[in-house]
Amino acid sequence: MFLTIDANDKRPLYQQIVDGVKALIASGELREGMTLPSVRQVANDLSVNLNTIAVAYRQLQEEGFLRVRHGAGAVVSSRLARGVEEEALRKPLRTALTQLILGGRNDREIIAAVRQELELIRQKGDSR
Amino acid sequence: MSAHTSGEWLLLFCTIAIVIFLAVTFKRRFWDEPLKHGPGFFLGVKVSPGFYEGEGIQWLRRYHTVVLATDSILALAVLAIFASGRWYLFPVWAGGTAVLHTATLQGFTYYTRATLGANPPVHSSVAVPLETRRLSDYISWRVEALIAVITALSWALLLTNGDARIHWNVPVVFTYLILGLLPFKVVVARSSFPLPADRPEEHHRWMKAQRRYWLHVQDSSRWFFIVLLGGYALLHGWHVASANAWPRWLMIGITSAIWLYMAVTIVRGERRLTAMGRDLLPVGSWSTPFRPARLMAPGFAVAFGVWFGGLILLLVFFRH
Repeated sequence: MFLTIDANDKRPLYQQIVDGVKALIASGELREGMTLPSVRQVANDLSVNLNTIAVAYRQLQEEGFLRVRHGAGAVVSSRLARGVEEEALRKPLRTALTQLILGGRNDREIIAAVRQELELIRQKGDSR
Repeated sequence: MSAHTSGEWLLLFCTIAIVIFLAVTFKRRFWDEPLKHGPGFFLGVKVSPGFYEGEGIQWLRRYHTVVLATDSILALAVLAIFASGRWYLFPVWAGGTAVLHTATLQGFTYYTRATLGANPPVHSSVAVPLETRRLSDYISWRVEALIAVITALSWALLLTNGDARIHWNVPVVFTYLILGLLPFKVVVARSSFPLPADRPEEHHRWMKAQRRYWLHVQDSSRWFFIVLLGGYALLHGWHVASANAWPRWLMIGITSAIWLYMAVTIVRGERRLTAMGRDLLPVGSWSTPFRPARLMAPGFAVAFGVWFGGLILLLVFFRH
């Protein structure tokens, strides 16, 4: 299982790690109880500052996805985000839908696209 | 030269077999090393098409000169052992071949990376394996404890019961080799390199196979020196072993067998890694925006330099 980091991506490095881990959890590739490598190992593999990875892990911990054990890596603690309100969940969806509408897609096409993306996420998890 | 005993004839036979093995198998492996990744690379450095019709001829010539010089030194050393009849030096020569080959090849590879491959291509995407690596996955601490016990017992036997013919530089050098290789194991077990975002699984599998291979080679060489240290302690600290010829030949037989095993491990391991990595990007041939291209894991070159320098100092300055 791999995380892909792209230097040309506009998101900061830590955010790419957060989003990548979340995507793996959502697809079911990362399940509850599975261990992620330590902050030191990931920082060493990427040769980036320890703090960059620590910030990403801390955010995932705060959102309830990870339980960090000092010096022993991190464990996936939940598949569900903790304490995130409905409004906060819907906000990025609304932004994406707005983009699709502005892109000229009609309701049927938008629903088909959403279904297709959901299917892709599930297939990714099943293929493992 | 005096008439050979049966044991010496056995040793002569083993040496000739090993030299033939080296000439036929090792030589071919070392000779073709620069082209291991195909004509698009020279010792893992990406080169432009047509390189081997121009600049590459010089590079190949330089490399082959180094290989020939290394093997000439080893050939002269083994001839000197034969001529002087100092058969007990044969195991040291056998171990030295591995050290010298590794040092010269790594040295030349470093030189190539620093000159020809000084500006490797930069890839913007990199993959990180989400797999936990622990030292205990690669290093058995029980085996390490056993090695420590054998080393300590050998020293105890030499210190309490050793005869007057002990050359203390011998157990010191063997102990240095046995214990000095442990930090290497730690460095190798912890080593990692960024993976290209393209085909990360295959690159990751190759990297793990390479890590296991290096540890296997190191373990074989350590056991080689452990048998030598234990054998030396028995020969000089246990009267039964020193009074008879068979323990000496038993020790030489075991060390030769381990050396042969090590040679086979290297040849098979190299062949497997070459087959696995034929279409993959060699480590250190490309760079990421986050880190420069590295041929070896951080600390490996420093650890090797310190260890090898210490060994040379011991061999040169510590005579008795």
